[in-house]
Amino acid sequence: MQRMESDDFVKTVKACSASMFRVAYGMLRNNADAEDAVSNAVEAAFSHLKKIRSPQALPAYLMCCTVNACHEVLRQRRREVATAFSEEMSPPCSNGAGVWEYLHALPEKYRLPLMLRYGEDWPLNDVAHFLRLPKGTASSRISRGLDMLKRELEKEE
Amino acid sequence: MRQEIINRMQTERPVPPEGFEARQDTLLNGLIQKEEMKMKKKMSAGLVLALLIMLIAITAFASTNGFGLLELLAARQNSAVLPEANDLVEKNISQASVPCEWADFEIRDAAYDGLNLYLAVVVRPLQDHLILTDGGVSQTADRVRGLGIDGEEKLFDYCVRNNAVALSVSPVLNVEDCDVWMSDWVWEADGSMSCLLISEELPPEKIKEELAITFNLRSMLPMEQPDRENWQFFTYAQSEKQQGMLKFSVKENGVRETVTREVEADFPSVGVSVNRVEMVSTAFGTRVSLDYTVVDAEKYCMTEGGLWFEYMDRDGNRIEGGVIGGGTAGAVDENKQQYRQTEYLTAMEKLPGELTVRAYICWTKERYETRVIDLNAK
Repeated sequence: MQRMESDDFVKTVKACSASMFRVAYGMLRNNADAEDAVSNAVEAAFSHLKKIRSPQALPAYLMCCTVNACHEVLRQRRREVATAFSEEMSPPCSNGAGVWEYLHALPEKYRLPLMLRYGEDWPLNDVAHFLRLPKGTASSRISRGLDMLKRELEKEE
Repeated sequence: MRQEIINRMQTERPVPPEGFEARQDTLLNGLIQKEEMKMKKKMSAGLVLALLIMLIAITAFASTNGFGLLELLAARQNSAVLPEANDLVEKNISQASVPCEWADFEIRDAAYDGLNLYLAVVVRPLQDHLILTDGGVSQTADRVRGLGIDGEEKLFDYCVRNNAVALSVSPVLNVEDCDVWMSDWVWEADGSMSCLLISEELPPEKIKEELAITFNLRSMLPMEQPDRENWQFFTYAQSEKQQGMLKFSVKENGVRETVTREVEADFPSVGVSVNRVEMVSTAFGTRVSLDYTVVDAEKYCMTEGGLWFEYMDRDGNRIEGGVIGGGTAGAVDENKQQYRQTEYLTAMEKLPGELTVRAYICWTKERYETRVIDLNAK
């Protein structure tokens, strides 16, 4: 097991930042907020660098911090706007093309597990951990999300 | 169709907006720079102490002795060890060095306290133009002054001006799942690097075997950052590497005192209950392990993984971290219901009869319930 060093951190963040941004955008659907969330996640991870015992653990830690940072933005938005996000299909967003456009339009509870599992290629266990969901729930949301996406794409064709 | 969608999700990933990467670079550079500034401040205090220690060392020993384990420890913050640590330090270590072309290695002294291995190692450069470092992205003026280089000149500039090559030295212990890290180091007058190495917890049975540390040496290439004035990073890209090794053996020692108590201490605000506390005392520090169970998943989820238990003395002051410092926390069961937090505190002459534990959320810096755990009650 290797101890984390600053240059390991820089390398890993550079390798993960696009993925972190896509997930943040998938949750927040706003470029500026997504970018802020990624920055907050990087800062949070850096401040806990000494507690991260191995560089191999950092990508998952960064993703966890990203999801937490996005939840914080969502909580603020809820406080400000005092309206919950709709669980119905939303219009496709402009960031992303093709299948991602439809993915971004799925309700959050399906969009996020699906995006992490297949869009970003995280194992099911990690997806469940990031989202603090039981493994079975994460799995069924991924499966239902995939079905919803399939139906939307079929409609288009 | 499902597989086709999955494939498309991976091949059609959207890209972040223009300028995202550059903004992230700026953030990272800022974070690293801030950290360097902190280290520099810490180092300034450390340097004063190191000078003091050096004077004592020169008086007490011959000046050729260099920095031993206790001198290196004394130069750090949170370095209090018990007087009996002196008895655990072995001076004449049975060892064999396998040098490389760049450097030779020697253990000055070492100690095993029943939990961790502590080593004072000197790495001597074998070529005049080589400068040994721990591989930090930059070397501060404080460090450079230690080498006798003009205090205002950074190591980068010194290397360029003198055709010197900076090497990063990184140790690896030959025990599986047991890392050894360079906790501190100083340059000596002859350019040797005196390093304080500390291992992760090493079971006593491993101490009976022959131990070895591989030293990975990498040349550090200077790289200018065009967008930042007076700031240069070293990078490992395309750098040369060499390896050396030290084989050695040390004496096995036991821990001083261990107290383990099954308890029931509820922390309802954070949704957990503490079930077990273990304190292990050695001459170099105190390890506290605390096992807890999630009893209210909703409350626990609200901590967002930021739950940390602080330990306080009778006066309500936080007990300081020790030589090792820091700690870890994580689930110990698959269902993520049982957790263990391990922290390394300062050395204690006698383990306390009670331990005050307070729940703390690192993200919000909010503090919750405080419980006093009776360590005498069986």
